[in-house]
Amino acid sequence: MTDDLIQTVMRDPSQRFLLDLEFVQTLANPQYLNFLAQRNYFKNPAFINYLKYLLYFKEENYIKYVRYPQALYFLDLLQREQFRQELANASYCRYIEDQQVHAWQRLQRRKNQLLTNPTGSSTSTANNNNNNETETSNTQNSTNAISTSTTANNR
Amino acid sequence: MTEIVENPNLSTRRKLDLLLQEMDTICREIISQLYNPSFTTSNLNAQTLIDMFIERQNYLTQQIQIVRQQQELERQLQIKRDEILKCDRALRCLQTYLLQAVQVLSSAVYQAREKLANIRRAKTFPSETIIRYAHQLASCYSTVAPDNWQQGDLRRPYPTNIDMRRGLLGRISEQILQRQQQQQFTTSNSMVTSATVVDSSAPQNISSSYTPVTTAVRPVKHDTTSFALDIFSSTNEDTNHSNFSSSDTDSYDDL
Repeated sequence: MTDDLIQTVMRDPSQRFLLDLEFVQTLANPQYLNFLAQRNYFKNPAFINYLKYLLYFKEENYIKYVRYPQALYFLDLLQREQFRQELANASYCRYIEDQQVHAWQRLQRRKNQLLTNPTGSSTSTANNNNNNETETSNTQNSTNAISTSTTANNR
Repeated sequence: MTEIVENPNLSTRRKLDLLLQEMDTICREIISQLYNPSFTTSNLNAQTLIDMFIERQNYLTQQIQIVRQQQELERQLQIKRDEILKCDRALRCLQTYLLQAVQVLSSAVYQAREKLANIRRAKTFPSETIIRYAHQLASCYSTVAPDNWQQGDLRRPYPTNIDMRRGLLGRISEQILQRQQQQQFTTSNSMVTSATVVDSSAPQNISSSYTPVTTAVRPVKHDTTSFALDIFSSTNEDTNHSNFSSSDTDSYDDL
């Protein structure tokens, strides 16, 4: 009974895919990244290989399963050694989390502005080109590459 | 005298001046003849002088008519000049608007060209796919905050501890932790009852079952068993047990 779940997962390809999908999406959580960094997961070469392996989620067939696209941006960043080292710093992770939430709220405000003022609008999309947080701006670029409806273009 | 009046190069004012000078001379001559008939400076008699005076007076009257016409023309000219000024001002305003419109249009055209280039470069997807994916992203608020979000709301743009614990990883780790606790319990019981040594390498046996099966090496699973409980310490055992029997999270219903 104890090994049932584990053996089921290891034997069934769809369950293993589900495991990969879950893990890659948890990478969007900066607290979890801090946790992994503090327990020296990022020093394990096997783990780094696994992160490189997870890049397959950026392909067309697999990206449609990802519900938290910011995770893919963090996955890209995690390929860099310097970022992995910085993640051990809790204040840095709190900063990332703050910026994430601010960008999340800013998009909501912009969406509401566009919806309430359909005639007068800038020609730029909600790419947030004028924000200063590099991590979230690239995230929004990647999400916009996938879907345009969230940017609320009233064309 | 006719050469004065019919000379086109002389202005009306000059003509009037010359006529008045001649009339003045003739008057003086007439008066001097009348006053002193024996002493005359010219050969003309009074009658001739008077005729000349009357002729010049007629010409003067004509010139005054001409002056009135010219004044009317000047008034018309001034009106036209004012209209021209007004039109000039309007034209300058229109020119400013035109320049502004040119700027706006040129930037709009440039951006439209950029967009078209992007569209040509882009990989096409059926719109239904895009809309379905956009709906998925919007429904879990992963990119845009919900409208009623306030400080203190637990929702986030990433999977939270509750979501992680409900998923497959969380369930695996809970199961392994339970197994470890059970083994510790049985170990302590057996130590109390029989005082035999228990093999404490059971955790390593568990980890050996997580051998990598793909070319990418997976992390050693026993290290992940405690992540859910370590960092998210406020564990609710009841909710975890109820979630064990639940199906996969609603995030993955497309699989």
